[in-house]
Amino acid sequence: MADVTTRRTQWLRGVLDLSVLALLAETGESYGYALLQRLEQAGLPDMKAGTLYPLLNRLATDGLLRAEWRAGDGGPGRKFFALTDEGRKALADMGPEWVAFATTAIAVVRRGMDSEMDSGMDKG
Amino acid sequence: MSVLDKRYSDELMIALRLHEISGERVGEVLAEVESHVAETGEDPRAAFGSPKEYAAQVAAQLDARSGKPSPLSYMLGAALTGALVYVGGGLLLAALNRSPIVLTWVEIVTGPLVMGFILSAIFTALAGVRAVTGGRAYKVVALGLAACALATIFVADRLNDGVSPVIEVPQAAAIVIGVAALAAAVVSLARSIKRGRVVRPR
Repeated sequence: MADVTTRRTQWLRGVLDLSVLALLAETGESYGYALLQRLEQAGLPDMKAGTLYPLLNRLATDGLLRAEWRAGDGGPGRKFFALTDEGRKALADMGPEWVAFATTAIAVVRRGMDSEMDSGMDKG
Repeated sequence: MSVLDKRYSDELMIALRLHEISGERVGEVLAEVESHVAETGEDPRAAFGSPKEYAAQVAAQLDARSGKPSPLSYMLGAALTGALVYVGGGLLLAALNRSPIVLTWVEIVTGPLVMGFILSAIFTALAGVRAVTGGRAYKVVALGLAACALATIFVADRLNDGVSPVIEVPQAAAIVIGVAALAAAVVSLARSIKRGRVVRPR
């Protein structure tokens, strides 16, 4: 079985689009490195810059995000991203679907864990 | 503030180019990496992976809208340019050396065949260079295709008796067709160069 980091990365891949849309809904606008930090603070670590940046650009191409370069203080500029109306709609549509899906998955895993504990206690 | 090392930047640019990504998008990707490294001080290989891996990841998220042509249109465009150079150059050189131009069945059959083998070898070799894994297999196939092109030229030379002409092209017509084909090839190349020019975001 894959190690913890690999497993988390695989799980996150399925929900990363939605997580980025949700974080941008919270913050209003942000850029790549700040979003990586926010993901880590939210308890979703192990995300690489090499995964996030192409994803942000794809969401922008799909019309869900608006991207804008702004000059930095003496260094290279930063590319800021913000939700478009289409992005807000995608979050409103997919968010509840994801929550329902995750709740079902949690219930299935929890039932399996509970029955495993019960059979362990019976043996004991 | 860290600065992106030139070697990584150059390797990434080449790797992105090998994926036929537009110059505008290449400039964006380089600027994003540069900006991230400047702010975090991270090693770009640790943050983004090797240039080859990152270019493959970027290409996987792109399509025609975002700076990557479809493989078919790219290959057809490159094949057409190659064919124009081959036909135009061949006709022009032949017309300047002798008159009129005489084509035999062997030349008509083996000419496109050689062209096909050469182009396939080039496309397969490029696929091998940009592949993150299994690149060696592509390179072996490309070598095989190049060998087929050489073998076809050798066989054509042996079979061509030069005395059973099928088509005769007058010298003046060969020069006109040759110049037109080469001019079309130059236009096609100029368009590719314009599309590939790296443009940094402002």
